[in-house]
Amino acid sequence: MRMFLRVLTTECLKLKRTLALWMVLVSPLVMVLIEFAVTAKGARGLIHDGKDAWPPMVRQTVEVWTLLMMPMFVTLETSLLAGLENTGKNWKSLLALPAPRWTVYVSKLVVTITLLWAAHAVLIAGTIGSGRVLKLLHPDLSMGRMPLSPFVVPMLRVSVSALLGVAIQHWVSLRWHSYTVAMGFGMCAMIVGIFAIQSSLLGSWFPWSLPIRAVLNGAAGQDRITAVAVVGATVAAALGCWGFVRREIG
Amino acid sequence: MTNVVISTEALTKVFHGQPAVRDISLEVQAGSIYAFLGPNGAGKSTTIRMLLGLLRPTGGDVALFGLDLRNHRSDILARTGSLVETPSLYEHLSARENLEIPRCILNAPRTDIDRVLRIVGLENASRNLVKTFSLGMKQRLGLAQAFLGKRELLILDEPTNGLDPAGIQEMRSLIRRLPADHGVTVFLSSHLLTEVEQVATHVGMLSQGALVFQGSIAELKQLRQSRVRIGINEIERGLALLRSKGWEARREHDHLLASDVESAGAINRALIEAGFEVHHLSVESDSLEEVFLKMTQAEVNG
Repeated sequence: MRMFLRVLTTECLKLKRTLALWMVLVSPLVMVLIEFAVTAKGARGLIHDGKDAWPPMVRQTVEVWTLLMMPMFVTLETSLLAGLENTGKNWKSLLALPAPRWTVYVSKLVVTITLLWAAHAVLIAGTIGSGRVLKLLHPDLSMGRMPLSPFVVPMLRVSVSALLGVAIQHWVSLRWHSYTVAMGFGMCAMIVGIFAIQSSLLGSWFPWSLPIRAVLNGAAGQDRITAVAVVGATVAAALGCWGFVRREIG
Repeated sequence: MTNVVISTEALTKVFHGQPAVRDISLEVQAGSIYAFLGPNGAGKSTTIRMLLGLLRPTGGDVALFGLDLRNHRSDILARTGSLVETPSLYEHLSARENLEIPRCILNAPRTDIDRVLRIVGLENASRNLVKTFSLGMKQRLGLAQAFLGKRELLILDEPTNGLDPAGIQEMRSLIRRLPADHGVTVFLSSHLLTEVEQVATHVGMLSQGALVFQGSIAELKQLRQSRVRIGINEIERGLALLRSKGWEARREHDHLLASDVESAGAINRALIEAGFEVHHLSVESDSLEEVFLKMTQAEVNG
Protein backbone atom coordinates (compact mmCIF):
# COMPACT_ATOMS: atom_id res chain seq x y z
CA MET A 1 0.00 0.00 0.00
CA ARG A 2 2.89 2.36 0.76
CA MET A 3 4.34 1.70 -2.66
CA PHE A 4 0.96 2.42 -4.23
CA LEU A 5 0.82 5.77 -2.44
CA ARG A 6 4.36 6.58 -3.56
CA VAL A 7 3.50 5.81 -7.18
CA LEU A 8 0.31 7.83 -6.85
CA THR A 9 2.36 10.75 -5.54
CA THR A 10 4.63 10.58 -8.59
CA GLU A 11 1.62 10.49 -10.91
CA CYS A 12 0.37 13.69 -9.28
CA LEU A 13 3.81 15.27 -9.68
CA LYS A 14 3.79 14.47 -13.39
CA LEU A 15 0.63 16.58 -13.80
CA LYS A 16 2.55 19.76 -13.04
CA ARG A 17 2.41 22.23 -15.96
CA THR A 18 0.34 19.83 -18.09
CA LEU A 19 -2.66 20.49 -20.26
CA ALA A 20 -4.34 17.59 -18.46
CA LEU A 21 -4.36 19.62 -15.26
CA TRP A 22 -5.50 22.82 -16.97
CA MET A 23 -8.37 20.94 -18.59
CA VAL A 24 -9.86 20.37 -15.14
CA LEU A 25 -10.51 24.10 -15.04
CA VAL A 26 -10.97 24.84 -18.71
CA SER A 27 -13.50 22.14 -19.69
CA PRO A 28 -16.12 22.79 -17.00
CA LEU A 29 -15.64 26.55 -17.25
CA VAL A 30 -16.31 26.42 -20.99
CA MET A 31 -19.54 24.62 -20.13
CA VAL A 32 -20.33 27.26 -17.50
CA LEU A 33 -19.68 30.06 -19.98
CA ILE A 34 -21.92 28.46 -22.62
CA GLU A 35 -24.75 28.02 -20.13
CA PHE A 36 -24.19 31.53 -18.81
CA ALA A 37 -24.51 32.92 -22.35
CA VAL A 38 -27.63 30.84 -23.06
CA THR A 39 -29.32 31.90 -19.82
CA ALA A 40 -28.29 35.53 -20.23
CA LYS A 41 -29.74 35.51 -23.74
CA GLY A 42 -33.05 34.13 -22.48
CA ALA A 43 -33.05 36.29 -19.36
CA ARG A 44 -35.77 38.61 -20.63
CA GLY A 45 -38.10 35.72 -21.31
CA LEU A 46 -37.49 34.29 -17.87
CA ILE A 47 -38.08 37.72 -16.27
CA HIS A 48 -41.25 38.14 -18.29
CA ASP A 49 -42.55 34.71 -17.25
CA GLY A 50 -41.40 35.28 -13.68
CA LYS A 51 -39.76 31.84 -13.63
CA ASP A 52 -36.86 30.84 -11.42
CA ALA A 53 -33.76 30.73 -13.62
CA TRP A 54 -31.90 28.12 -11.56
CA PRO A 55 -33.74 24.90 -12.54
CA PRO A 56 -33.33 25.21 -16.33
CA MET A 57 -29.78 26.45 -15.91
CA VAL A 58 -28.82 23.55 -13.69
CA ARG A 59 -30.66 20.96 -15.81
CA GLN A 60 -29.09 22.09 -19.07
CA THR A 61 -25.65 22.30 -17.49
CA VAL A 62 -25.84 18.76 -16.15
CA GLU A 63 -27.30 17.30 -19.35
CA VAL A 64 -24.97 18.94 -21.84
CA TRP A 65 -21.95 18.23 -19.69
CA THR A 66 -22.91 14.60 -19.25
CA LEU A 67 -23.85 13.96 -22.85
CA LEU A 68 -21.10 15.84 -24.70
CA MET A 69 -18.46 17.53 -22.63
CA MET A 70 -17.68 14.79 -20.14
CA PRO A 71 -16.99 12.01 -22.70
CA MET A 72 -14.66 14.37 -24.57
CA PHE A 73 -13.04 15.37 -21.29
CA VAL A 74 -12.45 11.74 -20.29
CA THR A 75 -11.07 10.88 -23.73
CA LEU A 76 -8.73 13.85 -23.68
CA GLU A 77 -7.56 13.31 -20.10
CA THR A 78 -6.81 9.61 -20.50
CA SER A 79 -4.98 10.29 -23.77
CA LEU A 80 -2.94 13.10 -22.25
CA LEU A 81 -2.03 11.07 -19.18
CA ALA A 82 -0.99 8.07 -21.28
CA GLY A 83 0.86 10.48 -23.58
CA LEU A 84 3.12 11.49 -20.67
CA GLU A 85 4.65 8.02 -20.87
CA ASN A 86 4.15 7.30 -24.57
CA THR A 87 5.68 10.53 -25.89
CA GLY A 88 9.07 10.18 -24.23
CA LYS A 89 9.04 6.37 -24.42
CA ASN A 90 9.04 6.52 -20.66
CA TRP A 91 7.51 3.11 -20.01
CA LYS A 92 10.89 1.38 -20.11
CA SER A 93 12.30 3.45 -17.28
CA LEU A 94 9.08 3.67 -15.27
CA LEU A 95 8.55 -0.09 -15.38
CA ALA A 96 12.20 -0.79 -14.58
CA LEU A 97 11.63 0.82 -11.17
CA PRO A 98 10.84 -1.44 -8.23
CA ALA A 99 7.12 -0.67 -8.15
CA PRO A 100 4.67 -3.48 -8.95
CA ARG A 101 3.14 -2.76 -12.34
CA TRP A 102 -0.41 -2.82 -11.00
CA THR A 103 0.42 0.22 -8.85
CA VAL A 104 1.25 2.19 -12.00
CA TYR A 105 -1.94 1.16 -13.78
CA VAL A 106 -4.22 1.78 -10.82
CA SER A 107 -2.52 5.07 -9.89
CA LYS A 108 -3.12 6.45 -13.36
CA LEU A 109 -6.75 5.34 -13.19
CA VAL A 110 -7.18 6.97 -9.78
CA VAL A 111 -5.65 10.19 -11.11
CA THR A 112 -8.06 10.19 -14.08
CA ILE A 113 -11.08 9.65 -11.84
CA THR A 114 -9.87 12.34 -9.45
CA LEU A 115 -9.44 14.80 -12.31
CA LEU A 116 -12.97 14.02 -13.52
CA TRP A 117 -14.45 14.51 -10.09
CA ALA A 118 -12.43 17.70 -9.62
CA ALA A 119 -13.86 18.95 -12.93
CA HIS A 120 -17.33 18.21 -11.58
CA ALA A 121 -16.57 20.27 -8.48
CA VAL A 122 -15.40 23.12 -10.73
CA LEU A 123 -18.57 22.78 -12.79
CA ILE A 124 -20.78 23.06 -9.71
CA ALA A 125 -18.81 25.98 -8.27
CA GLY A 126 -18.63 27.70 -11.66
CA THR A 127 -22.35 27.37 -12.27
CA ILE A 128 -23.16 28.82 -8.84
CA GLY A 129 -20.74 31.66 -9.51
CA SER A 130 -22.18 32.35 -12.94
CA GLY A 131 -25.69 32.43 -11.42
CA ARG A 132 -24.53 35.06 -8.97
CA VAL A 133 -23.10 37.13 -11.82
CA LEU A 134 -26.34 36.75 -13.78
CA LYS A 135 -28.29 38.03 -10.81
CA LEU A 136 -25.97 41.05 -10.65
CA LEU A 137 -26.43 41.71 -14.36
CA HIS A 138 -30.19 41.15 -14.29
CA PRO A 139 -31.47 42.12 -10.84
CA ASP A 140 -35.05 41.41 -11.97
CA LEU A 141 -34.20 37.81 -12.83
CA SER A 142 -35.86 35.45 -10.42
CA MET A 143 -33.15 33.39 -8.79
CA GLY A 144 -34.06 31.96 -5.46
CA ARG A 145 -31.74 29.96 -3.32
CA MET A 146 -29.44 27.81 -5.39
CA PRO A 147 -31.06 24.35 -5.27
CA LEU A 148 -27.91 22.44 -4.32
CA SER A 149 -29.58 19.08 -4.07
CA PRO A 150 -31.00 18.99 -7.65
CA PHE A 151 -27.52 19.90 -8.85
CA VAL A 152 -25.19 17.95 -6.64
CA VAL A 153 -27.18 14.71 -6.54
CA PRO A 154 -27.28 14.26 -10.36
CA MET A 155 -23.61 15.18 -10.56
CA LEU A 156 -22.81 12.52 -7.96
CA ARG A 157 -24.78 10.01 -10.02
CA VAL A 158 -22.90 11.09 -13.15
CA SER A 159 -19.59 10.81 -11.30
CA VAL A 160 -20.27 7.22 -10.32
CA SER A 161 -21.99 6.05 -13.51
CA ALA A 162 -19.12 7.42 -15.63
CA LEU A 163 -16.63 5.05 -13.98
CA LEU A 164 -17.18 2.22 -16.46
CA GLY A 165 -16.47 4.47 -19.46
CA VAL A 166 -13.43 5.92 -17.69
CA ALA A 167 -12.03 2.45 -16.92
CA ILE A 168 -12.46 1.33 -20.54
CA GLN A 169 -11.02 4.54 -21.99
CA HIS A 170 -8.08 4.29 -19.55
CA TRP A 171 -7.36 0.77 -20.79
CA VAL A 172 -7.51 1.84 -24.45
CA SER A 173 -5.18 4.81 -23.86
CA LEU A 174 -2.55 2.69 -22.13
CA ARG A 175 -2.92 -0.29 -24.46
CA TRP A 176 -2.25 1.60 -27.71
CA HIS A 177 0.53 4.16 -27.91
CA SER A 178 -1.16 6.22 -30.58
CA TYR A 179 -3.21 9.26 -29.60
CA THR A 180 -5.33 8.64 -32.67
CA VAL A 181 -6.54 5.27 -31.46
CA ALA A 182 -7.52 6.56 -28.03
CA MET A 183 -9.14 9.74 -29.35
CA GLY A 184 -10.92 7.91 -32.17
CA PHE A 185 -12.21 5.27 -29.79
CA GLY A 186 -13.47 7.88 -27.32
CA MET A 187 -15.20 9.96 -29.98
CA CYS A 188 -16.89 6.93 -31.54
CA ALA A 189 -18.00 5.70 -28.13
CA MET A 190 -19.46 9.13 -27.36
CA ILE A 191 -21.44 9.23 -30.62
CA VAL A 192 -22.72 5.68 -30.17
CA GLY A 193 -23.62 6.62 -26.60
CA ILE A 194 -25.72 9.57 -27.79
CA PHE A 195 -27.72 7.32 -30.12
CA ALA A 196 -27.85 4.47 -27.64
CA ILE A 197 -29.80 6.45 -25.05
CA GLN A 198 -32.77 6.32 -27.37
CA SER A 199 -32.79 2.56 -27.06
CA SER A 200 -34.22 1.32 -23.80
CA LEU A 201 -32.07 -1.80 -23.90
CA LEU A 202 -28.74 -0.46 -25.21
CA GLY A 203 -29.10 2.81 -23.33
CA SER A 204 -29.30 0.97 -20.05
CA TRP A 205 -26.11 -0.97 -20.59
CA PHE A 206 -23.83 0.95 -22.95
CA PRO A 207 -21.02 2.40 -20.77
CA TRP A 208 -21.13 5.86 -22.40
CA SER A 209 -24.93 6.06 -22.03
CA LEU A 210 -25.02 5.19 -18.35
CA PRO A 211 -24.25 8.72 -17.04
CA ILE A 212 -26.95 10.49 -19.07
CA ARG A 213 -29.34 7.65 -18.29
CA ALA A 214 -28.57 8.23 -14.59
CA VAL A 215 -29.47 11.91 -15.04
CA LEU A 216 -32.63 11.38 -17.08
CA ASN A 217 -33.93 8.49 -14.98
CA GLY A 218 -33.55 10.36 -11.71
CA ALA A 219 -33.81 8.01 -8.75
CA ALA A 220 -35.57 5.34 -10.81
CA GLY A 221 -33.24 2.47 -11.68
CA GLN A 222 -30.33 4.28 -10.10
CA ASP A 223 -29.23 1.25 -8.13
CA ARG A 224 -28.96 -0.84 -11.28
CA ILE A 225 -27.02 1.87 -13.15
CA THR A 226 -24.67 2.30 -10.21
CA ALA A 227 -24.18 -1.46 -9.95
CA VAL A 228 -23.48 -1.81 -13.69
CA ALA A 229 -21.04 1.11 -13.61
CA VAL A 230 -19.16 0.07 -10.47
CA VAL A 231 -19.01 -3.66 -11.16
CA GLY A 232 -18.25 -3.05 -14.84
CA ALA A 233 -15.52 -0.54 -13.97
CA THR A 234 -13.97 -2.97 -11.50
CA VAL A 235 -13.95 -5.76 -14.08
CA ALA A 236 -12.62 -3.47 -16.84
CA ALA A 237 -9.89 -2.14 -14.51
CA ALA A 238 -8.95 -5.65 -13.41
CA LEU A 239 -8.73 -6.93 -16.98
CA GLY A 240 -6.81 -3.87 -18.13
CA CYS A 241 -4.44 -4.19 -15.19
CA TRP A 242 -3.91 -7.88 -15.92
CA GLY A 243 -2.97 -7.08 -19.51
CA PHE A 244 -0.73 -4.21 -18.40
CA VAL A 245 1.16 -6.38 -15.90
CA ARG A 246 1.82 -8.97 -18.61
CA ARG A 247 2.70 -6.44 -21.28
CA GLU A 248 6.13 -6.60 -22.88
CA ILE A 249 8.05 -3.36 -23.24
CA GLY A 250 10.05 -3.69 -26.43
CA MET B 1 27.03 -12.93 -0.65
CA THR B 2 27.63 -13.85 -4.28
CA ASN B 3 30.34 -12.23 -6.36
CA VAL B 4 28.36 -12.71 -9.54
CA VAL B 5 25.99 -9.80 -10.05
CA ILE B 6 24.34 -10.90 -13.30
CA SER B 7 23.90 -14.50 -14.23
CA THR B 8 21.78 -15.83 -17.06
CA GLU B 9 21.31 -19.44 -18.03
CA ALA B 10 20.41 -20.33 -21.64
CA LEU B 11 18.51 -17.07 -21.97
CA THR B 12 16.40 -17.09 -25.13
CA LYS B 13 13.88 -14.74 -26.69
CA VAL B 14 11.87 -15.53 -29.78
CA PHE B 15 9.73 -12.93 -31.57
CA HIS B 16 7.15 -14.35 -33.97
CA GLY B 17 9.19 -17.50 -34.52
CA GLN B 18 12.45 -15.58 -35.07
CA PRO B 19 15.06 -16.01 -32.33
CA ALA B 20 16.39 -12.60 -31.23
CA VAL B 21 18.50 -13.99 -28.39
CA ARG B 22 19.76 -17.59 -28.29
CA ASP B 23 20.97 -19.51 -25.24
CA ILE B 24 22.90 -16.68 -23.68
CA SER B 25 24.70 -17.50 -20.45
CA LEU B 26 26.15 -14.33 -19.01
CA GLU B 27 28.27 -13.98 -15.92
CA VAL B 28 29.07 -10.50 -14.68
CA GLN B 29 31.36 -10.15 -11.69
CA ALA B 30 30.83 -7.52 -9.00
CA GLY B 31 32.90 -4.39 -9.49
CA SER B 32 33.48 -4.96 -13.19
CA ILE B 33 32.56 -2.83 -16.17
CA TYR B 34 31.10 -5.41 -18.49
CA ALA B 35 30.64 -4.35 -22.09
CA PHE B 36 28.02 -6.16 -24.07
CA LEU B 37 29.30 -5.79 -27.59
CA GLY B 38 27.57 -6.55 -30.83
CA PRO B 39 26.48 -5.05 -34.12
CA ASN B 40 23.10 -3.36 -34.37
CA GLY B 41 20.33 -5.94 -34.25
CA ALA B 42 22.49 -8.54 -32.50
CA GLY B 43 20.10 -8.80 -29.55
CA LYS B 44 21.77 -6.48 -27.02
CA SER B 45 18.71 -4.37 -26.23
CA THR B 46 16.49 -7.44 -26.09
CA THR B 47 18.83 -9.04 -23.57
CA ILE B 48 18.94 -5.86 -21.50
CA ARG B 49 15.15 -5.62 -21.49
CA MET B 50 14.99 -9.19 -20.23
CA LEU B 51 17.50 -8.38 -17.48
CA LEU B 52 15.21 -5.54 -16.37
CA GLY B 53 12.02 -7.58 -16.58
CA LEU B 54 10.62 -5.48 -19.42
CA LEU B 55 10.50 -8.51 -21.71
CA ARG B 56 9.70 -12.07 -20.65
CA PRO B 57 12.29 -14.64 -21.76
CA THR B 58 11.01 -17.38 -24.04
CA GLY B 59 13.43 -19.69 -22.30
CA GLY B 60 16.17 -19.70 -19.69
CA ASP B 61 16.67 -17.94 -16.39
CA VAL B 62 17.83 -14.54 -15.22
CA ALA B 63 19.35 -14.02 -11.79
CA LEU B 64 20.68 -10.73 -10.47
CA PHE B 65 22.53 -10.58 -7.14
CA GLY B 66 21.88 -14.32 -6.91
CA LEU B 67 18.11 -13.76 -6.89
CA ASP B 68 15.73 -15.08 -9.52
CA LEU B 69 14.21 -12.15 -11.42
CA ARG B 70 10.75 -13.72 -11.66
CA ASN B 71 10.43 -14.09 -7.89
CA HIS B 72 12.38 -11.07 -6.65
CA ARG B 73 11.67 -8.40 -9.25
CA SER B 74 11.17 -5.51 -6.83
CA ASP B 75 14.18 -6.36 -4.65
CA ILE B 76 16.38 -6.62 -7.73
CA LEU B 77 15.14 -3.45 -9.41
CA ALA B 78 15.62 -1.48 -6.18
CA ARG B 79 19.34 -2.29 -6.47
CA THR B 80 19.55 -1.86 -10.26
CA GLY B 81 19.63 1.44 -12.08
CA SER B 82 19.12 1.53 -15.80
CA LEU B 83 19.37 3.77 -18.82
CA VAL B 84 17.85 2.07 -21.83
CA GLU B 85 18.77 3.77 -25.11
CA THR B 86 17.55 7.36 -24.93
CA PRO B 87 16.83 8.67 -21.43
CA SER B 88 13.17 8.57 -20.44
CA LEU B 89 12.38 12.04 -19.18
CA TYR B 90 9.34 14.25 -18.69
CA GLU B 91 10.21 17.32 -20.72
CA HIS B 92 7.69 19.58 -18.97
CA LEU B 93 9.34 18.97 -15.60
CA SER B 94 12.63 20.31 -14.27
CA ALA B 95 15.67 18.07 -13.79
CA ARG B 96 15.01 17.99 -10.06
CA GLU B 97 11.35 17.07 -10.58
CA ASN B 98 12.37 14.33 -12.98
CA LEU B 99 14.62 12.90 -10.30
CA GLU B 100 11.90 13.24 -7.69
CA ILE B 101 9.83 10.56 -9.49
CA PRO B 102 12.28 7.64 -9.11
CA ARG B 103 13.42 9.01 -5.75
CA CYS B 104 9.90 8.81 -4.43
CA ILE B 105 9.36 5.26 -5.71
CA LEU B 106 12.75 4.17 -4.38
CA ASN B 107 11.99 5.90 -1.07
CA ALA B 108 15.46 7.44 -1.15
CA PRO B 109 16.24 10.53 0.96
CA ARG B 110 15.69 13.91 -0.73
CA THR B 111 19.38 14.71 -0.31
CA ASP B 112 20.07 11.93 -2.79
CA ILE B 113 18.89 14.18 -5.59
CA ASP B 114 21.68 16.66 -4.82
CA ARG B 115 24.19 13.82 -4.63
CA VAL B 116 23.37 12.44 -8.11
CA LEU B 117 23.13 15.90 -9.64
CA ARG B 118 26.66 16.57 -8.36
CA ILE B 119 27.94 13.29 -9.81
CA VAL B 120 26.66 14.08 -13.29
CA GLY B 121 27.49 17.78 -13.03
CA LEU B 122 23.97 19.16 -13.39
CA GLU B 123 23.65 21.00 -10.05
CA ASN B 124 23.40 24.37 -11.74
CA ALA B 125 20.73 23.29 -14.20
CA SER B 126 18.62 21.38 -11.70
CA ARG B 127 15.69 23.81 -11.76
CA ASN B 128 15.60 24.20 -15.53
CA LEU B 129 12.93 22.44 -17.55
CA VAL B 130 14.26 19.37 -19.31
CA LYS B 131 12.89 20.57 -22.65
CA THR B 132 15.63 23.21 -22.62
CA PHE B 133 18.38 20.56 -22.18
CA SER B 134 20.83 19.40 -24.83
CA LEU B 135 20.96 15.69 -25.62
CA GLY B 136 24.15 15.36 -23.58
CA MET B 137 22.49 16.94 -20.54
CA LYS B 138 19.49 14.65 -20.95
CA GLN B 139 21.79 11.65 -21.13
CA ARG B 140 23.53 12.76 -17.94
CA LEU B 141 20.18 13.29 -16.25
CA GLY B 142 19.15 9.80 -17.34
CA LEU B 143 22.31 8.49 -15.71
CA ALA B 144 21.51 10.48 -12.57
CA GLN B 145 18.10 8.78 -12.45
CA ALA B 146 19.80 5.42 -12.71
CA PHE B 147 22.06 6.41 -9.82
CA LEU B 148 19.38 7.34 -7.31
CA GLY B 149 19.03 5.25 -4.20
CA LYS B 150 21.29 2.40 -3.23
CA ARG B 151 22.07 1.06 -6.68
CA GLU B 152 24.69 -1.67 -6.87
CA LEU B 153 24.33 -2.35 -10.57
CA LEU B 154 23.91 0.00 -13.51
CA ILE B 155 22.58 -1.36 -16.79
CA LEU B 156 23.25 1.12 -19.58
CA ASP B 157 22.07 0.50 -23.12
CA GLU B 158 24.24 2.39 -25.63
CA PRO B 159 24.90 5.21 -23.14
CA THR B 160 26.88 7.34 -25.60
CA ASN B 161 24.37 7.11 -28.43
CA GLY B 162 23.66 10.48 -30.00
CA LEU B 163 26.26 12.36 -27.97
CA ASP B 164 28.81 14.71 -29.50
CA PRO B 165 32.52 13.82 -29.09
CA ALA B 166 32.85 15.91 -25.92
CA GLY B 167 29.72 14.32 -24.48
CA ILE B 168 31.05 10.85 -25.31
CA GLN B 169 34.31 11.57 -23.51
CA GLU B 170 32.43 12.91 -20.51
CA MET B 171 30.16 9.89 -20.35
CA ARG B 172 33.06 7.45 -20.70
CA SER B 173 35.05 9.09 -17.95
CA LEU B 174 31.99 9.07 -15.71
CA ILE B 175 31.40 5.36 -16.35
CA ARG B 176 35.07 4.51 -15.73
CA ARG B 177 34.91 6.11 -12.29
CA LEU B 178 31.76 4.35 -11.18
CA PRO B 179 33.11 1.06 -9.76
CA ALA B 180 35.97 2.65 -7.85
CA ASP B 181 34.19 5.79 -6.65
CA HIS B 182 30.71 4.42 -6.04
CA GLY B 183 31.12 0.67 -5.71
CA VAL B 184 28.72 -0.18 -8.52
CA THR B 185 29.00 -2.80 -11.21
CA VAL B 186 28.36 -1.52 -14.71
CA PHE B 187 26.81 -3.53 -17.53
CA LEU B 188 26.76 -1.52 -20.72
CA SER B 189 25.91 -2.35 -24.28
CA SER B 190 27.72 -0.88 -27.22
CA HIS B 191 28.42 -1.51 -30.86
CA LEU B 192 31.65 0.50 -30.69
CA LEU B 193 34.77 -1.51 -29.97
CA THR B 194 36.82 1.60 -29.30
CA GLU B 195 34.41 2.55 -26.57
CA VAL B 196 34.62 -0.91 -25.05
CA GLU B 197 38.42 -0.88 -25.08
CA GLN B 198 38.42 2.43 -23.27
CA VAL B 199 36.00 1.71 -20.48
CA ALA B 200 35.42 -2.01 -19.98
CA THR B 201 37.18 -4.59 -17.86
CA HIS B 202 35.15 -7.48 -19.31
CA VAL B 203 33.46 -8.14 -22.62
CA GLY B 204 30.64 -10.27 -23.89
CA MET B 205 30.40 -10.46 -27.68
CA LEU B 206 27.06 -11.02 -29.25
CA SER B 207 26.38 -11.99 -32.81
CA GLN B 208 23.07 -13.03 -34.35
CA GLY B 209 21.61 -13.33 -30.85
CA ALA B 210 24.32 -15.71 -29.60
CA LEU B 211 27.20 -15.06 -27.21
CA VAL B 212 30.41 -15.74 -29.15
CA PHE B 213 32.90 -14.60 -26.52
CA GLN B 214 32.89 -13.78 -22.84
CA GLY B 215 35.91 -12.85 -20.77
CA SER B 216 38.24 -10.11 -19.67
CA ILE B 217 39.71 -7.56 -22.07
CA ALA B 218 43.08 -9.26 -21.54
CA GLU B 219 41.60 -12.59 -22.58
CA LEU B 220 40.10 -10.98 -25.64
CA LYS B 221 43.45 -9.49 -26.60
CA GLN B 222 45.01 -12.96 -26.39
CA LEU B 223 42.73 -14.01 -29.23
CA ARG B 224 44.43 -11.58 -31.55
CA GLN B 225 46.40 -13.38 -34.23
CA SER B 226 49.95 -12.17 -34.93
CA ARG B 227 52.09 -12.53 -38.03
CA VAL B 228 55.39 -11.39 -39.52
CA ARG B 229 55.14 -8.86 -42.33
CA ILE B 230 58.09 -8.99 -44.68
CA GLY B 231 59.09 -6.63 -47.45
CA ILE B 232 61.67 -8.04 -49.92
CA ASN B 233 62.65 -7.94 -53.56
CA GLU B 234 61.56 -10.98 -55.59
CA ILE B 235 58.47 -11.79 -53.58
CA GLU B 236 57.51 -15.03 -55.34
CA ARG B 237 60.99 -16.52 -54.94
CA GLY B 238 61.03 -15.46 -51.27
CA LEU B 239 57.63 -17.10 -50.72
CA ALA B 240 58.95 -20.34 -52.21
CA LEU B 241 62.03 -20.19 -49.97
CA LEU B 242 59.99 -19.71 -46.79
CA ARG B 243 57.67 -22.57 -47.71
CA SER B 244 60.59 -24.82 -48.57
CA LYS B 245 61.95 -24.21 -45.07
CA GLY B 246 58.61 -25.20 -43.54
CA TRP B 247 57.25 -21.79 -42.60
CA GLU B 248 53.62 -21.08 -43.35
CA ALA B 249 53.56 -17.98 -45.52
CA ARG B 250 51.42 -16.18 -48.07
CA ARG B 251 51.61 -13.14 -50.27
CA GLU B 252 49.61 -9.98 -49.54
CA HIS B 253 50.10 -7.35 -52.24
CA ASP B 254 53.83 -6.49 -52.20
CA HIS B 255 54.52 -8.11 -48.83
CA LEU B 256 54.86 -11.61 -47.48
CA LEU B 257 53.03 -12.69 -44.34
CA ALA B 258 54.47 -15.50 -42.23
CA SER B 259 52.40 -16.85 -39.37
CA ASP B 260 55.21 -18.02 -37.04
CA VAL B 261 56.08 -14.83 -35.15
CA GLU B 262 58.52 -16.69 -32.92
CA SER B 263 60.69 -17.31 -35.97
CA ALA B 264 60.86 -13.69 -37.12
CA GLY B 265 64.64 -13.57 -36.52
CA ALA B 266 65.26 -16.92 -38.21
CA ILE B 267 63.17 -15.88 -41.22
CA ASN B 268 65.15 -12.66 -41.52
CA ARG B 269 68.43 -14.54 -41.35
CA ALA B 270 67.34 -17.14 -43.92
CA LEU B 271 66.23 -14.47 -46.39
CA ILE B 272 69.45 -12.49 -46.08
CA GLU B 273 71.61 -15.60 -46.37
CA ALA B 274 69.74 -16.48 -49.56
CA GLY B 275 70.64 -13.05 -50.99
CA PHE B 276 67.31 -11.22 -50.63
CA GLU B 277 67.11 -7.54 -49.81
CA VAL B 278 64.90 -7.28 -46.74
CA HIS B 279 63.60 -3.71 -46.53
CA HIS B 280 60.78 -4.35 -44.08
CA LEU B 281 60.21 -6.84 -41.27
CA SER B 282 57.72 -6.36 -38.47
CA VAL B 283 55.48 -8.36 -36.17
CA GLU B 284 51.87 -7.21 -36.33
CA SER B 285 48.67 -8.31 -34.56
CA ASP B 286 44.96 -8.19 -35.33
CA SER B 287 43.21 -5.17 -33.94
CA LEU B 288 40.35 -5.97 -31.56
CA GLU B 289 38.07 -4.85 -34.33
CA GLU B 290 39.43 -7.59 -36.55
CA VAL B 291 39.01 -10.15 -33.76
CA PHE B 292 35.44 -8.98 -33.31
CA LEU B 293 34.68 -9.11 -37.01
CA LYS B 294 36.17 -12.59 -37.35
CA MET B 295 34.10 -13.85 -34.45
CA THR B 296 30.86 -12.32 -35.56
CA GLN B 297 31.49 -13.38 -39.16
CA ALA B 298 32.16 -16.94 -38.03
CA GLU B 299 28.79 -16.93 -36.25
CA VAL B 300 27.03 -15.56 -39.32
CA ASN B 301 28.63 -18.23 -41.52
CA GLY B 302 27.60 -20.87 -39.00
